[in-house]
Amino acid sequence: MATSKQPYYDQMRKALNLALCIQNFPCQMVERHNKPEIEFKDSPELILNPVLITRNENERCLIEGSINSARINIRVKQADELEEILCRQFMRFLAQRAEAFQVLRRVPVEGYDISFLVTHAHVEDMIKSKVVEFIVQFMEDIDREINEQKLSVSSRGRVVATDYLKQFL
Amino acid sequence: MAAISASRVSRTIIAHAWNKSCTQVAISTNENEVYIYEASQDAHVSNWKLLHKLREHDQHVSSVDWAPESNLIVTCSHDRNAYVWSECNDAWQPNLVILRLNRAALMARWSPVGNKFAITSSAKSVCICYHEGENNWWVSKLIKRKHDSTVLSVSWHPSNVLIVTTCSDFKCRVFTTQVKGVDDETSVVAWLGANAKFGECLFEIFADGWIHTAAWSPSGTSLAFTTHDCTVQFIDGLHGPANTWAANLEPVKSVALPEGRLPLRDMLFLSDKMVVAAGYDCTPFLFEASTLKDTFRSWSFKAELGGGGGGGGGGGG
Repeated sequence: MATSKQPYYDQMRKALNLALCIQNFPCQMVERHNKPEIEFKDSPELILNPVLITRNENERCLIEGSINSARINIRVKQADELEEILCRQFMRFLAQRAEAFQVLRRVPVEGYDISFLVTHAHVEDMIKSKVVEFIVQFMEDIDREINEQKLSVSSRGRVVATDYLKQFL
Repeated sequence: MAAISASRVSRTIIAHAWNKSCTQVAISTNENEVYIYEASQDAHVSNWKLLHKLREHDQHVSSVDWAPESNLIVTCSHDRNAYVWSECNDAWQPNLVILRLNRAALMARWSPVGNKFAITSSAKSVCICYHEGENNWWVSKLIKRKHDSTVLSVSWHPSNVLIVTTCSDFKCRVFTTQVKGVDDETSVVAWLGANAKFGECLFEIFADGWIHTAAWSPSGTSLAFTTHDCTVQFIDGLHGPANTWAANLEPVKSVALPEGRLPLRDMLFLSDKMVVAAGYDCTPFLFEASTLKDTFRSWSFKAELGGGGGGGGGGGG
């Protein structure tokens, strides 16, 4: 299953490499401020055209770039209701611990499940190719986690149901 | 071709400048200070001695430039200030620069003669500063018009009276910067013609992305700039006084980087025919000019200079 997603991840890597060509850029609007321009969007000339990479109608990745920051929004595959619930809980769990991940955004952007915000400070501190790898790896891990959790929910449900219904045998 | 020597001085180096004899280098890191190291040829880079710390700014020092003849250092910072440092008795003293900026200053560059310097800023303006003897400070004349966005970088023409500025509004512009009393009148008239006003925009060039940096060739006859759409653009044929070529420019020649390469952030003319530029790919790229018919030149990408290091995005000096 992972191999069929390879082109999707490769495209993401290429788009991320370009979107993360960011620099330290002090705010034009307010003196002495240095803000991620993609979050505030007060100067249109500083925002790049967003790039949307779609695998199918359920899985998308929107990469919005600007001169000093980039926002990466991901919509994860959710085939049925169980996956939807698992995804929502899992993403909330991760987003609440966004400080630990540094590049994670606490609230996903409207229409997406999880968002990353990478600023020039992150790229100066960490190696850019590793940040790109981290994000792509994160996505692969999310898919795998949700599959595993779905299996374990189903098997636990089966075990619990068998045990409960034994008393009626 | 491999790098000659490299060593970790600090996590990030934002800007640097060499002195005239290349025996000392001034470095700005993410702290608000500028460090001057003794760059001795014998010792390895990791053993370079820290000579001085220039401590005056409140925020990132975004640019450092060292004037070769007068041995003055100009630093400018995101805290809207700039200082000119002069060395006396083996210590560096800051001198106030009246910038009149209300946003961050991004790049500072001495003019070729060393009597003026230009500072670009997020206030969509460029300051041309010169020394005022009576009060012993540096005053500025602002070029306020024309720029629609942050001015990212500036470069001086060898004539000392012209600059090219690059802006995040996708345009590259050339301005006149003669200052009465500082520049020699005859040379001003020779380069700009009579009746040239200060801060006049001679021409603008539009590109498909933010323009990161621009540079003049050593003789001043070519202009090159790099854009965020991964190209380097050249204009040749800038012979004689500026008012003659400003009106009829040759068409801009665009050289695209090889497939998959990332934008270039800074560039340098090694000679009139050779340009080296570096950017987010962490390796320098060489571009060369070849003369075709008559005087028409064409520029092309020549080589990539050896393996990139593990560092994050490349940055200008």
